[in-house]
Amino acid sequence: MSSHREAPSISQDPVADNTDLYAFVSPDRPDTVTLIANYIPLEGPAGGPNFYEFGDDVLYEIIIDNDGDNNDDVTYQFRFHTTIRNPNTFLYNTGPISSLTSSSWNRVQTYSVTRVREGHRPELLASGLSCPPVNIGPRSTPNYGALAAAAIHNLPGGIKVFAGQRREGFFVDLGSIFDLGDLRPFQNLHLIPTAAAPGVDATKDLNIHTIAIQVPKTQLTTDGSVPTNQADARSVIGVYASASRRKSRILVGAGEAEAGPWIQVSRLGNPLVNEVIIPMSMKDRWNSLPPSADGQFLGFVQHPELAGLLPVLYPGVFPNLAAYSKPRADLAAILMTGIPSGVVGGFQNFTSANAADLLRLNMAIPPSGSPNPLGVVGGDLAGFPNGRRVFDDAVTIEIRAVAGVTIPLVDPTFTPDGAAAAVEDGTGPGSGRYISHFPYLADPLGGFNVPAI
Amino acid sequence: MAELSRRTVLKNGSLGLVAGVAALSGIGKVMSISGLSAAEGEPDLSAVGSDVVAHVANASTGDVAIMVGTSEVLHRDPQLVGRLLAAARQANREG
Repeated sequence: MSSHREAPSISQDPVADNTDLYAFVSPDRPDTVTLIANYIPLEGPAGGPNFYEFGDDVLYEIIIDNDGDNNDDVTYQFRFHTTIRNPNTFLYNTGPISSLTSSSWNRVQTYSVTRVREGHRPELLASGLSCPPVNIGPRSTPNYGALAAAAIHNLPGGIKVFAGQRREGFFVDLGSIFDLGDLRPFQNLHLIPTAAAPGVDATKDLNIHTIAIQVPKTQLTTDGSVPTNQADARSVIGVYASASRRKSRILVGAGEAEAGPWIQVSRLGNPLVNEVIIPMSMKDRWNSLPPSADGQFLGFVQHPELAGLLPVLYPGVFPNLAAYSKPRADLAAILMTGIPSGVVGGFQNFTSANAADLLRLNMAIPPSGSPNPLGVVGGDLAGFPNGRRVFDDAVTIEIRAVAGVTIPLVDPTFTPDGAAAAVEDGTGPGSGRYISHFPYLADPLGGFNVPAI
Repeated sequence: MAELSRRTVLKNGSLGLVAGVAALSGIGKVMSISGLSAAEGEPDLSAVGSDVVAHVANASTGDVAIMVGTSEVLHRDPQLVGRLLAAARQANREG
């Protein structure tokens, strides 16, 4: 998946597991950028009685590099606090939850937002902000939309925040991809063939926990300017999200003692980098490092294992890819440096020649009036890998890129195989997953209607 | 002392001991300080306001990492580390 359970250690710590990161110019507030970091993979909507929640012992961060040095310039930190309103019941709720202050809601979470700007003292932007409850069902959360809407908070300076459960926006055919790289629509061509079939969206009935923040662009540029020129380096930001835990944790009876600095245990920039590019033996280490340390992993991007597997798994389908031995400068640009000017007409999101897995957004590119989930590959410069929108088809884009469809951007001598522009897992955004306004991911599915998988 | 190496925490600002050897790379705010064991007089056992964890980071050099709050300092004190290791050996024997 994008980054769900992508590394051995973090797969055992779902509360701190970054699953997806999105960054895009807000279509309904184009003077702002929306940043969304998702955590806790594969939430079954009916997953009670102790429903999914953020970790009180986790530091969640969304981090922006705005000057091309691959280091943190603006960081939004989120810390959560859980309160049990009624210590004498085992129930999450003792009646319908009609509002965020309902006495029937027993286990509530609030959070704080702190901004850390390089060279400045940390600024507490807000505290005591309410998360919504999870979506349980028509008796417990009868008007879930109102609960979720009440959990959208306006902060000073034109910032909006939301933290809580949402519907999973990432779509992928997990069952086939993890079965030796099978893609159902093309599995008749697989090394172990079966009849071609439509893709199966494995995440369509799942929820996620979302931290979303909408920020005026001027608070993200290095000099407070309004980005209007796509060719201007100041228009581009690099974004990653992370989760950290305290260095020391000791179990003390039913509680725990924690001490020491925050240690990063998960991070995410571009989708699928740690998942399908970094070797398993290095995935935990990758999660512990900042993007500025990614130079050591550049070779895995330039010579991705998956590009070597495709011609083996689909014999005779990718002969040109099989014969291509040069370092993949296209993938390095897309994932590690940003795309320089002159590669894609009217677009660049280059930040640095030094490799760093950052989700790069050119904020001067306006939102698309007719978005294409294939993003830049589909001719829509407002989509991935120019940032990433909630509905962008990251799986198809990256499979096609790895298959060679983007090589001609940097190496005109290469002719992609015919399949490179057609290969896909057969899933799509579908309906009901997204909304047209903040936080853009739809209300979570209710457990009553969608039992846990 | 049987649980010394795993779970012993003296609450309210006392010392939790985790014996072992670990590389120190990646430690954020490490300062090398020395001479703390030379403090004279009665030890100050008053609470410091949050949990304190000490990790024997390098037994051979007598380095102990002291974590409190979100800080971590590296304290080089072979005498202290020696006493900790002696306690750890005893715990191993009794465990």
